[in-house]
Amino acid sequence: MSVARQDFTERLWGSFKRPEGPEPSRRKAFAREHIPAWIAIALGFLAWLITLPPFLVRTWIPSLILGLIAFTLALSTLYGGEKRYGAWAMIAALGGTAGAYGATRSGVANLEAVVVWGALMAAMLRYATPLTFAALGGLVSERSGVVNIALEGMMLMGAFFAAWGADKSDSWLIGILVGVLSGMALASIHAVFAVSLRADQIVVGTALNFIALGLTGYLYVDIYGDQGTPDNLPQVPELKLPTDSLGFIGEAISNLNLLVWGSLLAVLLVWLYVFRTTRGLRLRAVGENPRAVETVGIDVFKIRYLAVIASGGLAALGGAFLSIGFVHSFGENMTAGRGFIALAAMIFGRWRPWATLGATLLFGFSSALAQRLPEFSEQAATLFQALPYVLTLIAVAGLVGRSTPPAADGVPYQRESG
Amino acid sequence: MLAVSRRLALLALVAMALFGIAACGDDDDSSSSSGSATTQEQPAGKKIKVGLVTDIGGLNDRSFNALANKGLQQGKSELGVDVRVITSKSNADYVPNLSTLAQQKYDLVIGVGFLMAEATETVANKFPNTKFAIIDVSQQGMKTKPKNVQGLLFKENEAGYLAGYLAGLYAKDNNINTVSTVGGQKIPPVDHYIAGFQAGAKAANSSIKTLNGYSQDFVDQAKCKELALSQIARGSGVVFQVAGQCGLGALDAAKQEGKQGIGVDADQAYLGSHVLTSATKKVDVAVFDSIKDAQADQFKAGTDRIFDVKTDGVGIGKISSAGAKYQADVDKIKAQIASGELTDIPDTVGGK
Repeated sequence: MSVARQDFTERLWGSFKRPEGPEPSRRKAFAREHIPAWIAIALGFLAWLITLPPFLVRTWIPSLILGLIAFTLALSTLYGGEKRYGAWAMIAALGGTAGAYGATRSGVANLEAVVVWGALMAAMLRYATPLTFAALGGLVSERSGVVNIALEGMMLMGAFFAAWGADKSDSWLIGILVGVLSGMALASIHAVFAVSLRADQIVVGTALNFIALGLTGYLYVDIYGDQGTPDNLPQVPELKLPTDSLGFIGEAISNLNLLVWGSLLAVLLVWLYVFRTTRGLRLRAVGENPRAVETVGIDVFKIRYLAVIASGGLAALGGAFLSIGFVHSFGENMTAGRGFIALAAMIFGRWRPWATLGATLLFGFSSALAQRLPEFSEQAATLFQALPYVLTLIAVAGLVGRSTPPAADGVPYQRESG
Repeated sequence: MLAVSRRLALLALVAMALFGIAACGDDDDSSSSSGSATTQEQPAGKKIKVGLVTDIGGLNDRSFNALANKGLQQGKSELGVDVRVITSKSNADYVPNLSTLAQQKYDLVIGVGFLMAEATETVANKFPNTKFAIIDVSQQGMKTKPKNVQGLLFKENEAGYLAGYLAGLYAKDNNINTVSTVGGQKIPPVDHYIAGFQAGAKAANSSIKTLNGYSQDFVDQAKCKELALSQIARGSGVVFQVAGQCGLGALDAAKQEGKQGIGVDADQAYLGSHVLTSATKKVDVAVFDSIKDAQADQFKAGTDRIFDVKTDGVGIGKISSAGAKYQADVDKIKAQIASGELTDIPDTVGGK
């Protein structure tokens, strides 16, 4: 940069200088200097929430007041030097107020049709489940240091073979088993090339995506021909809970598929294993500094192999949900890019299980909402469909702060000779 | 690594393998070339080459493309023509697929669907000696009105009206106050169905509420299933799917929630007892008739051919046991449409 331009940007951002202290990514999210920002975000949400069902405040005034308070807090955060938190607080303040204005201008009937919290939550969970499984798979693999771009392919394998297995054995449980095994099989190819042969992990992953697409498409046409999968395909059952009367959350969870609950359980299990056990620590160590781990005598290759194969199994579970859990059939390329959205969710969640769950729920919510928004404007229907992808862009563009992968992620490990 | 000479040998081997594969790719040219479009009158049963290019929904949509293929295969078995099907995976495939068939001197190339209207016009103008038939597109509506194209149009609104009438009657007797439609994309054939359905439902049951939504996708079943689930959550008791393969997801939603579904294009009654009926569109008949005409040199290019209830080109499929008692009423309406007594069935979906 030229001296003049440097001087200009310094003067522009000068007032927003970050205070001295530890690196931002290591400062706690709820530290004292961030609290005004969080309040601003909460107020922004509240401003919008009160204009939606079931509150349906029809004047803009309360929201405007809340928005102004949020705006002031956001400004103060920015002047305190917290650029990122300040930015989000500003977005929440302005967005919440604008959303509230839009809601007060829309018809109550439309609002009530679109914002049905129970149905929205249920749809959010349904959409998020395959993403959660795949993102967890990606997380496990990348925590061990192997980049796994082939989540999409593993998901597709899981979807097809779960349907095929369930069909041949008349049992959804065996179907899930077969699906998971097929995902693991594809993942083992990835492991061989990425870990032992030290190939470029992204190229291998891409190739596996194509292989999965071709293989499942070919087998589908070969085995099921023109008629498609049979109509009596065994289905993963729903778990019916008697919570219908417990507000919108009760409504949302009253009739969810077993695998939806499975995905939440998987988040818990992955978190426990990777972050609370010794083996999990070894896994993370292999992803950060494999050479150090090797000197202690732990087999880096074995851990990476197991991690990649496990990631294949997890991603395949996501695919199995799609085919025998939700749609009850298989269609060519039915995953339609969900594996890649799962990757974005993993990065959004900074390679941590609970944050990843939050990310997939966010994507699920945006999809659920996008599907109902055409109620307001049918012409813009296609535009609303872009909502989840816009969020993905925001996520990976770094607006969620510096997302640091494990240090040895993507770097093939080479044993020192001698 | 490998010595230079070994590397060259490997390269040559790979190149030869690729050539071999490419040569094996096309298996139609070797068949007889007697099917030229300009031969003199020959006895019926002459072996012409007919090609079909499907839409993005794929052959497994159990409705639109599957029916077209059914007509094609019927042509092969009953009329003895040579057939070939090319499936399109995306909009970008239309022109290459149609051109491939035309370049290989196919006598009749059939395009399936409104989405390939422009592609068909372009390719038809490039290959004026090949006959084209296009389903759901009006040749008269094309900008250049190519003289080698015949449009095969259907009065889907009449079929939709019949289905909607049945849905309205069913709803009235079963305490249902909402029926809904799940469309693929907002294109004329889809909207014809929906408009007819809404009109028919209101005619049978004036207080009925109609919901409508578009999944923007003819393939991904999960999208239509979500849409149908949200419509069912808003009170819909009958879901009419107009979305090809994606629509199968909507029917699955109806099955899962214990509601009624209505199929489209083909008779989808075999999918289960939850399918009340189907709004049928005899695409297979249209395709077969075109092949028959082309074979007998009676192909009326440069015009449109319209299939409606009167000519038995559209109709209503098998009514399930849940709706069996309304069969007589529906037949009466069908006769009224056929005779011209019932007209002015809307074919555009109006505002809310």
